[in-house]
Amino acid sequence: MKICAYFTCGFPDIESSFKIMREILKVADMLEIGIPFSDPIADGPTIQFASAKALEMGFKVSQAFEVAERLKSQFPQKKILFMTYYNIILRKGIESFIRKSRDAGIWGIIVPDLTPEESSDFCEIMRKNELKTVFFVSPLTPEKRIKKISSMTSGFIYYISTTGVTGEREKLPEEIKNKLKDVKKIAQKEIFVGFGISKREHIKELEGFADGVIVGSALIRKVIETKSSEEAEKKITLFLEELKGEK
Amino acid sequence: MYYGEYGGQFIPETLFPVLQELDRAFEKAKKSKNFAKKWRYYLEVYAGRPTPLFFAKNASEKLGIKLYLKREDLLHTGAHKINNTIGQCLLAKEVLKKTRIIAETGAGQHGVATATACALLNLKCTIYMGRKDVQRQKINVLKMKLLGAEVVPVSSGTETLKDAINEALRDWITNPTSTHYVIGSVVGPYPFPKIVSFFQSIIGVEAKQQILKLEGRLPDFVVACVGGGSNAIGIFSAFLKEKKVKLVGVEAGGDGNLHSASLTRGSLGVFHGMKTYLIQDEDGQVLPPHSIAPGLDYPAVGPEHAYLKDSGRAEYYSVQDEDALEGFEFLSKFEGIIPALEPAHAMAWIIKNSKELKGKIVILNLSGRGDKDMEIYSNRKGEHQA
Ligand SMILES: Cc1ncc(COP(=O)(O)O)c(C=O)c1O
Repeated sequence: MKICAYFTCGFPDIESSFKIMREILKVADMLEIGIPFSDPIADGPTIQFASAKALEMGFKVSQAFEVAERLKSQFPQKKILFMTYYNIILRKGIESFIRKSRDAGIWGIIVPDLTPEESSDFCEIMRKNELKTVFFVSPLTPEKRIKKISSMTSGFIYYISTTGVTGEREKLPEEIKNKLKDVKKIAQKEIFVGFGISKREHIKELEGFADGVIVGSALIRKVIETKSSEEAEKKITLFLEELKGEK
Repeated sequence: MYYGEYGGQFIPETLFPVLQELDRAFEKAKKSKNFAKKWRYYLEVYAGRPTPLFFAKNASEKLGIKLYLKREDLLHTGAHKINNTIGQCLLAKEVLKKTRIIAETGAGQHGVATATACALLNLKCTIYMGRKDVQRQKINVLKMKLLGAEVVPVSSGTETLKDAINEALRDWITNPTSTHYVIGSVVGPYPFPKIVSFFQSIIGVEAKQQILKLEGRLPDFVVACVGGGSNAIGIFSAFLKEKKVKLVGVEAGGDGNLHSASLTRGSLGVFHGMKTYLIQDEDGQVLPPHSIAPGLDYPAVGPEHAYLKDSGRAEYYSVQDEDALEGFEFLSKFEGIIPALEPAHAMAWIIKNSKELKGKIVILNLSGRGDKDMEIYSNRKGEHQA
């Protein structure tokens, strides 16, 4: 089971976020660099907090490309993605944003408020630049639509564990395994489960039903709870090892 | 789904099927005689429709024009918002069979109108409101609670209207099957702009009949304030095809520096599920808007307005806080009507342009009454006397 870690770029400040993500990449299989947006409607309180803090500290989108490039140069074998809201991409210009991402060594881009229906330009330019698209499937997505989503996905399918926004949850929903079986059958793409993943138990439960998990809020919380970012780096490393079952 | 290149559905996947279901339900309701009958019934005997079209004789003489006021301020709860909330709550209850309603509110007008419709129709109601607005608009918070709604203060972002919408969307993403989101203007992902426009279009339908009866001809100008744009679309819609009628939308120019004039000073963006004009920085971060009128204090605008602007069918201007106060005092003094600060912007535009409007028939959509704004007015006056 692969672990894809999400972290907000610029939180708690730009250099600390770089260092934390560098530690993350030593353990995690993949990294999602969150580019903060002022109005993150798909995010719960933890990532909202991190995004707001980053913006307050003066985060600029151009810094995300720099951070990505520095990380990629140190971990050339690992897949690094961007996760951001569509307005950030549109504002830079879809073409320009995607080209800069490619130049920074980005593997794929995740846009939580972009549906396949609205993304024909985006997908076309992503393909030209050989970047991977990631689209979401939720527990409410009907079968026919899963097919359509899958056909536009060149990276992996991001399965939302439960209707809701990002954030840690105690338990995974009962029906998740059956849902994942259905999605796998229809989509025949790699499936990563996100939203709420925060424990080793969750990952063990999904073993055999998903190809990977995405962990975000639980990592951010480690930073919120600690005083120094060195301490946070240690905690995050321990936590990721624990998730992988290495501790 | 689109108005030119504007509109669309930029939303998390979870909402996609929910919006499809909403669209189907709305199309079904639109064709249903039974639904129309119920909606009309509540609008007439509960909300107070049709609203009069009043010839403002004193103001007309002062300005040298023929000014008519579409009196949405006389509706129950004091603004046009109730046309939409009764419509959407009926839709939620009768067609979608939902039991819980959520809504956002800035100043509290849409929140009160939603809580009112929910009390009337026995629906559970939760209103999201920025923490700053909760503090600024205490009376409306009290009203919503009295009407049985739960008011949730939102303490993220700028703690105002846009953040209340964010939080309402998050609630909806979390409770998509039990809950209907009654959005307060012609904004948000499709089909919301279409639905709200439909429920508000009654304003224009009435106004057109009324002016034809009173004047025997169409007006030269129809003027309305634009926040999200629902009262403006409501009255514009009946005149869109009448090319001789000039349509004017008036945005909030704020204090000149901070403003809410997304159409006249914003740029292309995607926000709250729609592609539209947006007030943002060079990175695409949304900037905090400002207006003296709480109902105009929104950084984006409905996609149909973006389209009407680009196509030239409607023209948009902005008016600053100071001028809006002049409009506020003008209607109060000369017509005995204290307008809400939102339509006071439209009034101010008419005053400023009265030379060009000389002899013309002008309809102003008086979208609400000013009771709610007395504290703001009093603070402003105090500030100026000090
Ligand atoms: C009286 C009044 N007019 C206008 C508005 C602005 O909304 P819209 O542009 O959707 O009509 C509001 C919003 O609260 C309002 O209360």
